[in-house]
Amino acid sequence: MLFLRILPAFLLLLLAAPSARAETAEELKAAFLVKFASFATWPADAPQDGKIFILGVAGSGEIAKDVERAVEGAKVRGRAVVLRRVNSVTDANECHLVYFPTSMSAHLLGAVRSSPILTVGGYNEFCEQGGMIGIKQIGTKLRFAINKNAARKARIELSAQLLKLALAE
Amino acid sequence: MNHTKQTIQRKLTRVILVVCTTCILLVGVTFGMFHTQRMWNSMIGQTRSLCTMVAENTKAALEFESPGDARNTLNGLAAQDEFREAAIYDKAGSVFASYTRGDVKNPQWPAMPGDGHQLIDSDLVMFVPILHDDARVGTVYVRRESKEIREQLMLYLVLGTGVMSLALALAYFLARKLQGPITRPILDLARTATAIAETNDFSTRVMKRSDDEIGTLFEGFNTMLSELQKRDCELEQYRHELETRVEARTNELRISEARYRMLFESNPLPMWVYDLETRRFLAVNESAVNHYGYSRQQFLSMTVADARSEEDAETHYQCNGNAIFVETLGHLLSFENRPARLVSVNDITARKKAEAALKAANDKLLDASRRAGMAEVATGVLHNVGNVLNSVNVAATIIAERTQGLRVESLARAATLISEKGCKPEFYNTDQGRAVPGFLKKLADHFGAQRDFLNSEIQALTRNVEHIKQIVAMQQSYATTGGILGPVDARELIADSLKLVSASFGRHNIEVVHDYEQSVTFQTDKHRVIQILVNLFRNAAQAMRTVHHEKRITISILREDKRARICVSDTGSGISQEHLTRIFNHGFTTKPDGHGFGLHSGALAAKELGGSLVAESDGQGTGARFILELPLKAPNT
Repeated sequence: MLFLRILPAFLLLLLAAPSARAETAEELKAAFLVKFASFATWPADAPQDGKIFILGVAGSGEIAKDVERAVEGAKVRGRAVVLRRVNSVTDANECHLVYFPTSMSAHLLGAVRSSPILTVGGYNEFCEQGGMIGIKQIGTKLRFAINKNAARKARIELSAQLLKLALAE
Repeated sequence: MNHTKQTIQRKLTRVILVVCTTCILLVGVTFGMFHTQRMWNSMIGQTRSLCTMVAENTKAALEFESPGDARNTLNGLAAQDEFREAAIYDKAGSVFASYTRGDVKNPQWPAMPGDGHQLIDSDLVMFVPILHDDARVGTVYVRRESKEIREQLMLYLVLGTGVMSLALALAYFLARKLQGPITRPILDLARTATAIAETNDFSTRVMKRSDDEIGTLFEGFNTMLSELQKRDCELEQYRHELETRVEARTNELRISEARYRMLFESNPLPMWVYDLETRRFLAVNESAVNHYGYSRQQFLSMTVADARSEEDAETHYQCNGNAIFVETLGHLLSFENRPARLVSVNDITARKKAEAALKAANDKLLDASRRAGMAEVATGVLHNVGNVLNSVNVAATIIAERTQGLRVESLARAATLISEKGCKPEFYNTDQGRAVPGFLKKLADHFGAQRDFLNSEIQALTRNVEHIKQIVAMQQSYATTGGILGPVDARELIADSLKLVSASFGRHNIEVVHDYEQSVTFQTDKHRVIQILVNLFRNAAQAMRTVHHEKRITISILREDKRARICVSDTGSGISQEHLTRIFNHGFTTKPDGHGFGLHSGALAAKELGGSLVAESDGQGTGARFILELPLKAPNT
């Protein structure tokens, strides 16, 4: 019984250990990216490479490094994740998912709105700007909001579970 | 009767009920097992699909670490109150979200969840992995009670029992109703059979009602009954016959037994039956009681040894202690199922006495015969002595005559002449004187011759006297030394015997022929044999007295195996056939002055010496042949 009482605390300690190793908020957000991809379904006519999943990061190089660290070795539905810098619409069109860490690249968002590209933003107003999934920090926890219309326009199907978990619009 | 009826019906009913019960149970159990299995399978399948759905719906919650969302999903299980508890484990194996039914306190979550399902305390426990994007992200755990299955099973049990009871009641009812056509005829048959067994009335018949096997059985029963009736009649007849026969045979047996009993009881000879083991008398007849003087009770309390001498089984004692000599005849038999011996006793005391008397008489007679034989020998001896005495007489007469004839006076004259004139020498010159020496010489010659003659005569006389002495001595030796056995030469025997009869033989000019080359030596009583032989010779001489042709006795000696045969044959008058058979009988004689002892005692003596004497003759006028046969070695008498 004593063991059972101690066990949760011990588990918490184990979970707390990596974050204590200084997982930055950016890194946590980057980890969300792959998970989002696994709950999304791209339309059949979208450009597909059967072996790799191209994850684009728009803008700042610093954040791209955090993302790279976070998705290293990750796979989306069996496909290896390949990181790409997105500075133009052309770059964006080669990706399956484009992450916008800041609002600085918001101009690209408008250009890829009808392309089958899952757009995820790392700032609060992303969904209002026409992005599909916007990660928000509420307290110490990261949550996300979903713009269903944007996803429907881009013909990207998001899992109902994901929708269920999303913050209310 | 009633019991029998119940038994067969009950048996049939029981068989039917047992069959029904077995069938229903088999069906029920099979169905129940099958259904239970199906319910289990269905429950497992349902639970698994529910778990899979929960897993699908909690994937995102796990991925985005939203336990509340996962809990909401789990709460959906509350719709079924069989779910006792459920939980979502994360990748690391710790409880991520959980659900417990309202009534469950202190849920205990299994620490190390494994995939699959198992039964714990009749609850179904299932672990289903939560997979996302080909990777395991967690595990769904549910624990579901099998209340429904248990309830279902209870229901089935109750239902099954009810159905079975109903079915058995129905089966019982139907069995009672429907077995009638089968059991009734059999019961009828049984009743009839019992009635027949009680009354022995084989004329009863059963009514055949159907053409099935029972009908055949009825027919068979009827056939059997008529057969039995027929047999019964025959049997009754045989029995009657047998009874008559047994009665007749019993009567016969009774008569026969009475007859045999009479044979035993009224037998003039004393008879008894004694036990071979105890040697006790078992039965005695009247004659035994009379003869031995014991009462029947005394007899029956005695053993055979009590009535018998210890040394001699043929000497018995009467009640008063008298010894009697008996001859017994025995026969083994079974008397009252015991090995026994039937003995018939013949009292031979009187016979023994008579025999003893007869023996004494015979001995006396033999003695007489021996004396008679000796008389014959003596006669022969005297005859011989007479003959010799004749010679002696003649010799004596001659000697007397010759002695008288001696010229004694001439000698006396010469002596006187010489004494008168001899003193004168001139006398011898005279003629007379000169004649004296010649005369004396002649006289001397005459005396010498007479002396020689007389000498010879005297010698003959002496010889004859010696002969008489010998004859007398021989007779003396026969008369005194009888009964001594010794080795005897047959030839000597014959010579001695002939000597005794030689005078008679010589007088009648009987020629004796010795027809043997070798003699035989054997052991016997010499004198008795000589008596026999003398007798035979005398008989032969007697038989040849009237015969005008050649008178001859032929004596032969033969040795045959262990016997000696002396055969004396003559050329006499022979023996007629009728005499031949009686010739050795005592008192038989053909001589006018005979006493009939001779051959009889001869034959008797031969027999006593272990031999035999037989006579042979081809008839009157052909001579006779007597054969004396004696053993080489005398029997030990």
